[in-house]
Amino acid sequence: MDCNSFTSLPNCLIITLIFGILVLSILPCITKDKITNWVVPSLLSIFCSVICLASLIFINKVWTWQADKPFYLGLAPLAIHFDGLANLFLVLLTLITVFSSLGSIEYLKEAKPKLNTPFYWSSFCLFIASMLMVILANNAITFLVFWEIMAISSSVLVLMDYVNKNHQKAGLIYLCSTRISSLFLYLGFFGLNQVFHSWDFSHWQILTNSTLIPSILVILGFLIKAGAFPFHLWLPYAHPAAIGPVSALMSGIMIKLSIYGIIRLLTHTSQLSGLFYVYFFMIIGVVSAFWGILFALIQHDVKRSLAYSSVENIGLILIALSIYIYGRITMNNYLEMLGFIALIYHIINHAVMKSLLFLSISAIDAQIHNHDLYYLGGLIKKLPITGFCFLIGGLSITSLPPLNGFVSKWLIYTGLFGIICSCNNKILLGFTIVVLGLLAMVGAMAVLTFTKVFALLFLGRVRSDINKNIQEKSFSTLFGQIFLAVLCVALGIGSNFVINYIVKIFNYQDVFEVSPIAYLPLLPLLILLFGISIAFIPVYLKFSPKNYTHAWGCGTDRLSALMQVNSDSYSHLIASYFRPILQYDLKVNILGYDKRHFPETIESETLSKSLIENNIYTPIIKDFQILGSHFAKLQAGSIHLYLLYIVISLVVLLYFGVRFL
Amino acid sequence: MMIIAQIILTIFLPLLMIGIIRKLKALFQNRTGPNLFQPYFNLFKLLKKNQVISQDSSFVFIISPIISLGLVIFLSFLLPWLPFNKAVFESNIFLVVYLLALLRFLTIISAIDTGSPFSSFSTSKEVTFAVLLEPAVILSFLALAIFYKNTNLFYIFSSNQTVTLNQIPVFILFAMSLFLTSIVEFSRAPVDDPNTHLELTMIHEAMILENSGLNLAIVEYTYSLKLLLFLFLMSSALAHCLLIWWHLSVFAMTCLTVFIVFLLLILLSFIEVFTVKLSFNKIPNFIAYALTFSFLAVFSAIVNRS
Repeated sequence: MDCNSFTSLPNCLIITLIFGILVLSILPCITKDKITNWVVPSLLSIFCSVICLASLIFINKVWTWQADKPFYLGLAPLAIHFDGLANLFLVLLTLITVFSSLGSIEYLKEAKPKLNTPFYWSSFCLFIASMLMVILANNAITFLVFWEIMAISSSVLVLMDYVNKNHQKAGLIYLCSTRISSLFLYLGFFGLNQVFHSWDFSHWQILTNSTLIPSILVILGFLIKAGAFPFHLWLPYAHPAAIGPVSALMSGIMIKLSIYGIIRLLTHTSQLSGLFYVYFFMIIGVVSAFWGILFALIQHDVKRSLAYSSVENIGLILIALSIYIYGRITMNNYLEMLGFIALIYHIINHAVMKSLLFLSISAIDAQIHNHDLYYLGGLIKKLPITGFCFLIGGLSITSLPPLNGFVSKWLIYTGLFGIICSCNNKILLGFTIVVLGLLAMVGAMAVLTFTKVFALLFLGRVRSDINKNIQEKSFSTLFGQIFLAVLCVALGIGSNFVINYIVKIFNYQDVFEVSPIAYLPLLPLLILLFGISIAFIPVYLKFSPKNYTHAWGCGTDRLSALMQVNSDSYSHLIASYFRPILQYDLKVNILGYDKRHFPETIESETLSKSLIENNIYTPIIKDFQILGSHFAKLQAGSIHLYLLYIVISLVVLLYFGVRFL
Repeated sequence: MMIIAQIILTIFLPLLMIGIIRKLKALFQNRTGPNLFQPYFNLFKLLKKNQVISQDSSFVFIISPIISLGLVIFLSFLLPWLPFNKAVFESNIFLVVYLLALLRFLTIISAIDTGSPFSSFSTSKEVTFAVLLEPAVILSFLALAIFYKNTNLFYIFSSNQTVTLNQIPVFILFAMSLFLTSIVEFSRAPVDDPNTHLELTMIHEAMILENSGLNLAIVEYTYSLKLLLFLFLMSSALAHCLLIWWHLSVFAMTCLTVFIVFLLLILLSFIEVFTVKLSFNKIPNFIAYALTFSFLAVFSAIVNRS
């Protein structure tokens, strides 16, 4: 390795640390359980913070390195490339890793059933190291090797509690989808290699006429891993099964590595043509966003809801990507820049806020081993800090000002508005307007989803007695949440600074000078809201309530806590409007001797199925099973039959041997 | 000078408007009706009263009304609702729409925080209609933005724009869509009847069922201020159309805007008197009208844009 020159020192440091993380994955095999649970996460956090700082400071540095002859990965050398994009992802990944690993400590200590701690930490380290290498990979072979390690190690992390039947199913579905994704990537990369005779990403051009089929294969492979619309099936299974910190990493970073792959290949492509790709990404994006949030709002499992919300956010990212591609195709520098900033900004934001939400949930989950909205409620009195952080995360993911989610959503809206203003194509124009309207609806549905999740988790009355002994426990879990919540606010009010920074990293200065992005008055808003709350304190103290009583119950005594709105009743109305998509049904069963006047028990149940899973995937899987059962007849277990096969194959081979040799 | 006039209007007009609506309704029904200034008396009465709050509620319930008020005050500086108010901040249609969404978020969480079944169930209705309504809101604002190729509302409403016949349909359709939207947004008849006082049928009133004293006073004031902003925005859009024929001074424009607001208030109370509350499953159809008008506004903006 060429570490002699001073300039490549930070990059060599990062590579050494990645190697260190790889070594860390062996460490749990030789140390004791208890020691592992604090040694590995603290070492991992230190390594990651150093990588984070190094890549943040040297973010603009471009550096490429290739392994020498003996270190070949089969077809191509191990190759590494640092640039602004890669460094940005390194910063994001390592930041979230620090908080996730700190958050895992508490979880593993309290986990019920007991998880295998050393096994967890070695796959965790492997997962992190492989993701770091995927970001840095400069050729297809290096990329695929670490992509596979990432897929396998994350499946192991999903399947930590492998005794649970639901988790087994989740693990299987996740593993299958990673296999299919890899299959598409293999085929696509092979096709691209045939065209360009190189494995180097920098030599490749996707979405040109000569590389149409392989590029579509590659993009499909990436979209499966990203969990975009028809392929989102694995997210709602994998996230509830995986423990919170792992979900934070998977949803915060891993699914975005696919988008990273697409951007990587697109930036090397010199010429793009055809509006087809704009339509393609916009349709997939808007359908993912709509579909994701629609399913998120009817879930009663918080983690499942967050998983569907990731689908929504991937949709938003893809819409930003389509704005970027539109800008490239029409040579509109302003829109290209706007789309790119929106894309990067939303990736950063979603990573921050989604991991914040998952870490908050895992802090609750670690203590009461439940993340079902039916049983929770009123937690804010016991967990004020977690509750407040979750509120910040919820406000931010709903993209409400003055937090960070709003800025990227606003950039996407502005980009779509830019397309509307500059576009002469009538179809694209109408289409963009519809997309914009749907995005507004998605935004309102996000308000519904996250008011539901936040309010039913933290507000109102406690619905069951499982959360009696819950309290803010360890600083290690709180630290991550507080840091990420502060980051949410900072990325919101410092939006101009961040936008300038992104512009600087990706050399869009010339364009930015021409048409500056409008200034958002988010800081004045925050100051006003903060000021008015502070000014309110003396007023509140003067008029402070003297009477506390139970909520109005129509003149009766205090109503039961179960009479509060619950997950199903809150979303029933909107779910019933979208009944055909959600396959939603409410069944009410009234029992009793005289059930009309004196019902004894009233049961109600809401049913909802995944349309895609039932109508597309299940039939395909069934067909494969039927096909498989026919093939199974070949292997009947009879020795006579096997002898027959041997004879037949010998005869065939002899015939061909005589005929052709 | 202008900003002082704006602040005075912001403080004194909202509750007067509620008083006018009540008086007009009473006159339509052949009643004498309450005093025009009754809402002010109610406000002072509420401030004197002691607060009774739910024992299940947390700081969210206490803090969210005042933050909502702060948001609406911020909105009053973002919207060009008076002919003379100047841009204090860069106003942007998407920012306005999302500030309204933030307002809704706060209202909802404070309603669920009380732990009352009634207020939490009405949040479900409120947010469901908001989901259906949101495209109408954003598209009607978008129509104006498309016409001027600018998302800044102050730019759109500035009086030194060249006014052509083309913009009349855009502004009128915008105002119509906004009017239908605000009927749903403010839970007025025929979507919701704030005077029934039945916990299970009301939407907005049920959400603030548990608020009392100071808390309720803030919520009521926020509601009326928001109504004021919406009505004035509609009337400025309509007054803007008249600029083709008459070029008016700022003072005359202000008077015209106030006059149109008065006409809108008559229309609003007329509707409230002469329609009955819609059946609950008809409300989406009502929202569909608002959506249709907003689509028409966008369409006319595209056809007429320069």
